[in-house]
Amino acid sequence: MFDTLKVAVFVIMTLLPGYNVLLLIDGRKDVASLEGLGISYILGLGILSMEIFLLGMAGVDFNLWVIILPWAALSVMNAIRHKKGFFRYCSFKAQKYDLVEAGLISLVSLQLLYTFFRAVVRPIESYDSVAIHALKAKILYLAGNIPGSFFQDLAGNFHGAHPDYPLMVSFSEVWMYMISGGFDDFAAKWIFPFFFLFFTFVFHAVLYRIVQKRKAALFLTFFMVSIAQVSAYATIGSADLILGAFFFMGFSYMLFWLGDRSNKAYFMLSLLSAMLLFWIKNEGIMLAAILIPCLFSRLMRKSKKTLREELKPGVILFMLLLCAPILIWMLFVRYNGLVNENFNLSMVNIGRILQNYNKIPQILYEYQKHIFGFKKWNLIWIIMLILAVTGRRFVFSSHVFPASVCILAFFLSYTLVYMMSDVEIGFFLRTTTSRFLLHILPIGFIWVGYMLKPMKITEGM
Amino acid sequence: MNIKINSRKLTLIITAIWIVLWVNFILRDLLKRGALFEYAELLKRDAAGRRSFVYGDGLYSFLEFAKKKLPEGASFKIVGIEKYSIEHRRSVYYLYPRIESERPSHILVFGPKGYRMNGFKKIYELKGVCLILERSTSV
Repeated sequence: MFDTLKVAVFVIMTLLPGYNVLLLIDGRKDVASLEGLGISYILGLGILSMEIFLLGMAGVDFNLWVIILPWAALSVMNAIRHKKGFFRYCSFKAQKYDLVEAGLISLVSLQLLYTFFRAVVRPIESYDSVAIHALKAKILYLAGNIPGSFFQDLAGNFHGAHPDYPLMVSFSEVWMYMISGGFDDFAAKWIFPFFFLFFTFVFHAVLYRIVQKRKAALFLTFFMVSIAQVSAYATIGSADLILGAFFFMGFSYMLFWLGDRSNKAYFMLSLLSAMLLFWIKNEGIMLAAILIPCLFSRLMRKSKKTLREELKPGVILFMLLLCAPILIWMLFVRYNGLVNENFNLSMVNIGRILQNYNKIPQILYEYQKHIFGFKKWNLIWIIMLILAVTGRRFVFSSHVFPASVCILAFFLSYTLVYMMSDVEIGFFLRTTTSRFLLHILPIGFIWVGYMLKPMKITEGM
Repeated sequence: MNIKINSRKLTLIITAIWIVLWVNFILRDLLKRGALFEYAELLKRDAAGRRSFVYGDGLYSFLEFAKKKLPEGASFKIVGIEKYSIEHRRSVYYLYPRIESERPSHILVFGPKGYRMNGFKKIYELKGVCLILERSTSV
């Protein structure tokens, strides 16, 4: 059994980069304590995995101290600069909860504990994990660096390992092995329920900011964590829930920033989360692209003159900074001759869409199976459908509009991918739809949160 | 539909149905699908025992045997496990840094008794169900 101490060290070391970056950007103290810890872990994992990759590509062997050194230095600087404020995301004020709130917190805690148990009682074993992410992590960790022929070897020796796939999950596992001091297929499993726990903190804080009622935010948090598909994917070592969490953060903090353009913390949190989307799964590039129409859907509500003015502070910069790492990664993938056989840019053309229009009924049938199939999703898609029908006049109101655009753009994009891909459609839908829906689900809750307010459903809470 | 008036009731009803479904699917998993038995069994075992339970005792014994007998860096081909099945993926993952190859130095036979292949000779056997064949130097 993996040492409790090693788990604690892993969590603290993973929090370190995100925590210190957050202290740098959150000068106005807009981020709450648990939210701050959640962001620290999530961004920390993204930053550390990227750092190990970049150092490895520069020829530096994997070394714990080299990786942690800049963050330790930044911690000292932040501790001197902020003094007592350094621990502001770790200090919690005792709050009074009524019976319903206490009940909801208990249910959320129960679900989280069960998720932890399910995750760590088994070794790495799920299909995508052993075929892709954990396999790469094992190869990389045992090599002690990124071998010059790593991508070519993957393509040549490991069919189905997808050498073109982004490496965040693999390098997160390498990071865990570095801390635990050896390859351990049980140790790696701790990464994922912790990610779920910290994401729950961020999720609740974001929803609270939207619905402005603690109880309503707790209800939505309970609904999210208790969805069978969500908790299952928090245990198996796959990248889908992680992608959904980063997409959620990129989208929500972007909306908060657009609501308060002077807020640098929200701007940076959205940007950092969105910039890391490409690093989790190939679909992340598409999700980052979806953020652009969402951004404009908010700005479009202004007059033409104001729109031009609105573009000036930050929006262009946001888009440029978002695109830069994606373009670099795409060039890297192209330079190394890494091609995804299921879907790649050469498949993107209108001819294919027109040619494959007959796939649409099958795709829609698969979507409805999930909407009405509450085994994996409980009632969430049904609730969203009922809200969309009963509150249709609010779907395109100014607050709800960006989330509506996001959900519509998401389904449109994935439908087009299904239509353009060469993979046999029945197999493709069967094996991917339930995972793809995890990418949009947390933003679905944002949409619900924004819909509740004009429909006055939260008034009694 | 007056949502404003019924918002409390609506929340209560939705939450009640949600919890019933949530508990129902957890219980179904635990009791009907045998997850409870699995967890009880997993808790009794050490890391190797858990791996064995998850992979299947037969496959795990075979993989452990192959891991001990094959040197790191050796190439292998697996016979008796469907290519790209979950068992195949787990085997490739577990046996790394031994690498699967179309021109292997070793053939790992899981199951088929008396398996033979031209140019390979049997070097190890486990309880008559797992074989390891090695490429003959003369070929």
